[in-house]
This record gives sequence, C-alpha cells and structure tokens, in this order.
Amino acid sequence: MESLEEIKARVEASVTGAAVEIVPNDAPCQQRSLRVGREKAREVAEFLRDDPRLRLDYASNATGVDWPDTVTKQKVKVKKQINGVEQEVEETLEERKPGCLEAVYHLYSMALKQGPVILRVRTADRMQGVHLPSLTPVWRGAEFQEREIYDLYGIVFDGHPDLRRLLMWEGYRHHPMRKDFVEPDDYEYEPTPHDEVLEKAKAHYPADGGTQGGTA
Amino acid sequence: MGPQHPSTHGVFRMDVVLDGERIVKLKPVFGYLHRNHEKIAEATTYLGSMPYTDRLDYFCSITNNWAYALAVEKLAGLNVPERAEYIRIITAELTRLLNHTCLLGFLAQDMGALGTPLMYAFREREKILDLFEALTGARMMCNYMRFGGCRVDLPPGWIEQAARVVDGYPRFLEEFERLLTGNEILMARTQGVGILPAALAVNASITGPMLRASGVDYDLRKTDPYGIYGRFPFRVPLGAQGDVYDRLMIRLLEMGESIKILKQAIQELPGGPIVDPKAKLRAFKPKAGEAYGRIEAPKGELGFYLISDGSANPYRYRVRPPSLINLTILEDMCLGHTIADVVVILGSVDIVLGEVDR
Repeated sequence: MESLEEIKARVEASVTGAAVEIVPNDAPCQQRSLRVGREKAREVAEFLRDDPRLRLDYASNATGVDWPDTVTKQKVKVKKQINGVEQEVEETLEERKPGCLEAVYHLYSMALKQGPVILRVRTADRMQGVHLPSLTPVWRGAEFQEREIYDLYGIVFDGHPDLRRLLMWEGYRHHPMRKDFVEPDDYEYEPTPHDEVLEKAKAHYPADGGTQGGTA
Repeated sequence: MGPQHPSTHGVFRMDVVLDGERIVKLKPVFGYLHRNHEKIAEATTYLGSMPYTDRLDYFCSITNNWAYALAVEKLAGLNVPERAEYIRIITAELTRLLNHTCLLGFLAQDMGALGTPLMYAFREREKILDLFEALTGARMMCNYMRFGGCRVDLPPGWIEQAARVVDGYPRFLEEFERLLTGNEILMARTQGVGILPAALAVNASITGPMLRASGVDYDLRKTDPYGIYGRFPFRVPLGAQGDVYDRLMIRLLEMGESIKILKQAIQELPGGPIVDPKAKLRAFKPKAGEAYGRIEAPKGELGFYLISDGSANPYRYRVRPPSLINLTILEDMCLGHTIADVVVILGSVDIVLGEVDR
C-alpha cells in the first residue's frame, strides 16, 4: 500500500480544504493516522472509499476518544514593584488548552486486502461544538458504532439516519465514557422514564383526592 | 419481540412492525447487559482486563484473550515464543469448533428441532470444555493468554487427549451433516431466507462466516495473518447465495478446515518457553502510543483498540464487537419475511449478548 504521506498528498489534491494532518504513533506497531478537518470529513471518506488505488470499502472500527482540557503550569520570573522596590518574583502561569472529542475510524480494503488507514476527526470543543459529520452514509458499518459514540461520548453525528442512544436508556442525561464522568452514588436515583409514567398517571386521579365518592 | 434465541434470554429484544405475518420494520434494542466494560478497563491495569475479556463472548473466551493479547503485544512490541503460538492456535481452533457446533445446535432448535441436535452439539462441546478445564482450570472463563505468551504450559497427557478429541470430530460432523443438511424441513426453512448481498455485507462491515456466506473472500487468518497462521494450508469456504442455508453450511465446512489446522498444529507442536521473558506481569507500562489488533474470532472480526499514555492503565480501551456490528443489517435481511423467519435469521447471525452490550 502507499505510504501515508502519499495518501495525504492525494487527498489534499482531490479534496480542497481537507486540512489533513499526519498523527505520529510511538508504539512499536507504528500505526499512524490521518486527522482531517470536520468540514470536509465526508468528502475525504468518500475519496478513500472510491479511490481505485485505496478502495477502503470496509470500516472495521469506529470509536470515540475523549481529550479533556489540559492545564499546564509554568513558573515565570516577573519584575514587580513591591513596597516601592522593584523585586523579581516567581509567578505561576496557567495555560489552559481546550479539550475535544475525537472519532477514530479504522479503515481496511476487502477488495484489495490492504489497510489499515486510520481516520480521525475532532470536534470543536467538549460542550457545545460536539457536532461531526456522520460517515454512516459512506460506510453503513458505522451505523451502530456512531450511535454508541453518541451514547457514551456525546458526539452528535449530523446526517446519521437514526441517531439514538444504543446502550443507555432514552432520557439518560450523561455520557459515561467521558473522562470527567462522575459515577452516581445511587443508581436507583437516576431519573428514568418511570418518573414520566408516574407524572402522566396523575391525570387519572380525581382532583379532590376522591373524597366526593362517585365512580372512578 | 423476544426473547426466543437461547443466547438472548431476556437481554435482547426487537421492536417489530408487522403487516399480518410479514415484517415491515424491525429495530433491535440493546443495552440490557451493558456494564461499560470499556470504562472498567480504563480504571484497571492492562493485565487486570484479561479476565474481563472472557465475559465478552463467553462461548469463546480464548479467542477474546488472544485478540486482547495481540493488541497489547502490538502496543508494547512483545514477541510470542514458538510453542505459545502453537498452543494459541490449538486452543483458538478448538474454540472455533465448539462455537460453530453450538451455533448449529441452536439454529436447529430455533427451527423447532427441540433438544436432540442441541444435545448432540453440547455433547461434543463438553469434550472440548473438558480440555479447557484441564488446561486453564475453568470451562468457560479461561483467562488463559498473557501478553507475550500463555499463562501455563500444557499438563501431561493433554495433547494426546486433544488429539483424540480432534480425531473423533469428523465422525460427529458427518453424523450431524447427515441429520441436518439434507433434511427437507431444514432446507425449506433456510434456503432463500434472509439473503444478504455481498456489496451490502462489505459496506455494513459484516465479518466472519456471515460475510463469507455472501461470497466475499475475507478471512483474517489468510489476508492479515496473525500468529503463525501463515504456515497452515487451509481453504476458506465461500457461500454463493448468502442465505441462512449458506451460513449454516459455511460453519460446517469451516469446522472441517479447523480440524485440518488442529491436526497439523498438534503434530508440529515444538518445545520451549511459553512466554516472552521481556513481558512483565507487574508494573507493565507500555510507552505512549496506540495500537489496533484484530483476529478472526469464530463470530467475526474481533478487534481491540488501545491508547496508552505511558501509565499502568490504558487511556482508551475499545472492543470492536463482531456480534453487535453483524446485527447492523438484521432489518434488511428480515424485511418481507415472516415472524418465524426472523427467529431463524437472528440465529444464523450468531450473536452473544455479552459482546453486543459489553
């Protein structure tokens, strides 16, 4: 198979504004990956699938990774006026790097028996900008896996045909695979659809509590 | 709808819309067995997750072990000694035999052949489980592989016993084939039912016997050989129609090929160490990086994706579950068929909910 640099060059040539970047991997297996901008991720995926030299027709694995905000502390010497005298004082500077969520796709070719090419797409942040283009229209095999990522990480895949929670129940509000997820002390306390059922059931009770007699 | 398949006792159901007896819409519902295996694994050491992998596809704990060990070996750059490679192949192919055998029994049960075929299958399965128990101490939760090798060496007399089981297997397969495959009812229930076209199978990431029954030649033991599968000559059986009957036959034929591999491996088994001396059990901290390792498990491609941040716990631990992904096209296969066919089609997918929900 071609080297990742060649694939990058050809992707950039055919998809304008793809913003491709090679992510190094220090592990002995050296499976490096391609990170692409989310705006053109769908086009890049289609190129990788349809290109006659790559034919990556098989999305083996799709998964999410959470990269929380990182805070790096740095000690800097600053000159300050203290009691009218200029002194050198040490100060700690905090640099906060915003985190993101990442979707990773492991692509292989069943037609040409080659691979993997690893595709990564990052969200803008972890709070509001959690939208990514869905690659399910390109590889149907990503359907349940993207639903799982949505469920456990909270990435919203635009263009997914049926984006519902896969493993947790409807109405659950958290994304348990996120690194900052706090496990509940009491699982029973979690609001469940059962509460809604109880709320609805109140409509069937008489307003005065049934003191007037009469038939139910 | 559900539960009706033996492996779905209360943990899997389908929302089905019917027009009379015909399926109009079918949505599988998951999550009843979800315990967030991946989150648990991120909170424990690399080795600590090994017994958890047994519980994924609890029929095939040894192949689960192997997939995880393979991913860690890629991540940490460990080698596996020759003898361990052979033991891995022997135990993994035995696992394939027992998985396929049970599946055929379950499938016959789904079609109404209550009891007899399943008990025949379970009789053979017990022989293999006896071997596993002698080797690992547990019938099903084997927890056998270690990074860079295996946990314990074969006990005395084990390989002779394994050879006897393998030698006796073709007789059982013949008997099973005579009982089932020419059966008129079985043919009527399976032929032309639940057809899966090859193009859809590839696009939907279907793997394992399901994929090969649709005629796609893709077996990781051949196309992306792991371990020492490259040394074993065997065929990859392919289906033509992609219906339930083909899926059933593929499994029968694959068992025949597994027996070939087993015979050769048992014959050639070398001596030597069973674990890489470089591999550490305690304080095992791979360098920062990531790896994706995958094997041809009996149910399809089982992959593990690991990201290490240099600490003793994996930063990210992902299981690529073949059972879940093979269900992607369940609706496509069932549309237009009757309720009774859904039972058979689901049975032919071969799922285990421990792996679907994780």
